[in-house]
Amino acid sequence: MRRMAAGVAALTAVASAATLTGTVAAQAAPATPGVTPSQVTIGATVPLTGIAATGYSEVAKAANAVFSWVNHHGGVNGRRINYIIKDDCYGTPGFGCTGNPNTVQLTKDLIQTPVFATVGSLGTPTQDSVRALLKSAGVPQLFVNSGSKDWNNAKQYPGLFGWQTSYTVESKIIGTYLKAHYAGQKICFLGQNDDFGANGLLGLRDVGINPTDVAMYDVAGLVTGGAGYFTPFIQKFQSDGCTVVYLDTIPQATDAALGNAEALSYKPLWAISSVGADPTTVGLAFAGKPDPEVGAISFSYLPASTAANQWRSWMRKILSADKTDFPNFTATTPLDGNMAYGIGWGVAFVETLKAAGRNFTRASFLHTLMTTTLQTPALVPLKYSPTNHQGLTGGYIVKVSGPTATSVLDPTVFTTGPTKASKLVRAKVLSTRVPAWLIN
Amino acid sequence: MDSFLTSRNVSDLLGGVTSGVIYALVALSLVLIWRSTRMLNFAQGAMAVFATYIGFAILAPSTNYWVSMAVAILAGLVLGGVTERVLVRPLYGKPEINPIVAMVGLLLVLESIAAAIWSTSSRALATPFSIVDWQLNHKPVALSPFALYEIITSLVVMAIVAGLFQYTKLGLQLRAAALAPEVSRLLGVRVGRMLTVGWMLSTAVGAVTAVLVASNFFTGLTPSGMDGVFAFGFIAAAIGGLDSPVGAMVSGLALGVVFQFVGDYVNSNAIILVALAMLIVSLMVRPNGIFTRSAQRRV
Repeated sequence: MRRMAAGVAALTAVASAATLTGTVAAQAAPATPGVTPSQVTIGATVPLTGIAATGYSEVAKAANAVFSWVNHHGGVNGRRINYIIKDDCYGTPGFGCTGNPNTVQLTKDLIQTPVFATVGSLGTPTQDSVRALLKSAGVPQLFVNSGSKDWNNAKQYPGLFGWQTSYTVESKIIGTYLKAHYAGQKICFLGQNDDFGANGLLGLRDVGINPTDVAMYDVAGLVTGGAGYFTPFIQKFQSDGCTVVYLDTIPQATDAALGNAEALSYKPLWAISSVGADPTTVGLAFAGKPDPEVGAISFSYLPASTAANQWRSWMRKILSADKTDFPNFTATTPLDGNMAYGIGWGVAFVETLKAAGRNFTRASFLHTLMTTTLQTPALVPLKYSPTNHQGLTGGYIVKVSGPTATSVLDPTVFTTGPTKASKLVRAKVLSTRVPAWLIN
Repeated sequence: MDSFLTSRNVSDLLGGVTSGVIYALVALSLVLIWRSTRMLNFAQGAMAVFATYIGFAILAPSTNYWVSMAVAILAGLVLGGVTERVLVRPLYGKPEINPIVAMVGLLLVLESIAAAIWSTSSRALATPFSIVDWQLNHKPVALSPFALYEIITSLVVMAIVAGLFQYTKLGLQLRAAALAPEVSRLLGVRVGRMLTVGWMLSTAVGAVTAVLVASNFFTGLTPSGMDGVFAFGFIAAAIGGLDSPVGAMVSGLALGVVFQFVGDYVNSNAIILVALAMLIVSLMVRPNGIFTRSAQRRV
């Protein structure tokens, strides 16, 4: 918290400095908000504390590790990246929230700063609540950390971009795998009662899976009710004889589901959305006990933790170098899915910033974003276009192979669209290397 | 018989008792302080969590569970005593808003200090017993070895506190100091010391509660981990009567059971609404609490 306070102080100083340099620079070129000759200021609202903080609190910090790395190596086109992270507790008070659960207010603060764009803000309901605000302020809303389809609406929100594979695409690919390998088994579904659960369920139904039970949970209910809130859901799955349970859950909710099943000695096959499956995060609750998540299947678009991959060694390098956000990251610390995820869009941002050149505006930056193939850690191409603002469009099936590890279960990478009509297409596995300018 | 034990209603009852004993302990802890010093200890949860951190986070993770538990209880005694001497004592006889502000302040300060030292991330505590429910004919009984340990521990704590008050000289002095401080002082009871002891006892009870709560895989140990439990414990104390230890404990247990049935038969989301509705109704019908005999409480 002290660091945050210092950050705010520094920010005020930066903001006033920015105003000064801004007036000087204004004579040379029209000023782009948040951009000075030496710095680009961007911001995000993310859950650093509260119900969704488990694991997710690392995401923006991991992206910031990319920015710090780049800053220490001369910045991008001569500019440092100043990343302002604000804690909005997933918009949900309680469960240890020490931030401000008012995402709208925090976003207004960022607009006032001003930031060039918000980058990597997290959450479907929270980011839905500010997209009109950001649009009216002309601030781009980049790489929203959520798989909702809401980010892909170029006509209405030209400055809004997602990053990860959508929940529907993800559940279509997992569902297809389940149909092929667990045909005839009873499948139950537990999802979050917003786009996360709804879009995910839609994808399962699109590929012909009709769950025996559908249960939707409420995040605020989880905060007040604790793990016991999930007991009735899991009891019903058990008594209805479901042998496969599909979870569209945030990590804390995954824990509640797994823990309740453990208490009931109920051992279905778990199929868990990538959003709530990261083994390191989920395993925290079961430290010192057998991890009930081992054996679960999940989905990824990033290199599996057990894969030898140039990107993964680079990620370890930059996290070890970031002594502010990851002071305890050593050679033996697991590189978890949240870190890889944050680094993924962090790289996407610096790549775009580099491609946008020294002189750019918000409009020219977005044009660059939509016309460049970005070299990121993802195994599926990240190619935005004037009609695709979603981001990644596919992935592959992984298995939780240990308390902190995932391994490839089926290496076939599929891509597909969000509609029922679009079929799964085998994609060539992308094996991009780390761009040379990021290595040194 | 087997199907009876694994039936829906019995499961709900067992689950309700398991969470109810926790609310009962929180309520008891609040009553101990209310009776002696007429204060609502809003920092009760934070003090308990702080003591738990001292037992479970300062000592190495490999430390024996029972040693950690003992250290947490000891820390609770010390923390309670110090709080009464340093923070609470100057507040006696001051306007009623003063202790409320001071206690809410202490809550925030303790939670922040705990977060600064141990971070807000939850840490899992080792549990001495399995959380997996016992089974009968391959159907779970809603009771695990850990839940049974939780219930027994709570009952033991309640019995110790009751026994102390009822059968020991210290208990007599505590009661006397709480009910008639002036007379007690004239009769040679060191009233100030008794108030300190009341706070020590209350915080030690809180520490046991926080250890049990933090052993749950879902919450783990976090600086604000007792906030939700405190809210329900507070409602239990208000309904049962802040002057009545028995009332607080009975209503804590009853709340746990009611919530479990509401969660199962209505919806988990309805629990908080039902809790608040019960609080409002009980304050309207019996503002002094269901189990309070005396009507002389200052309001």
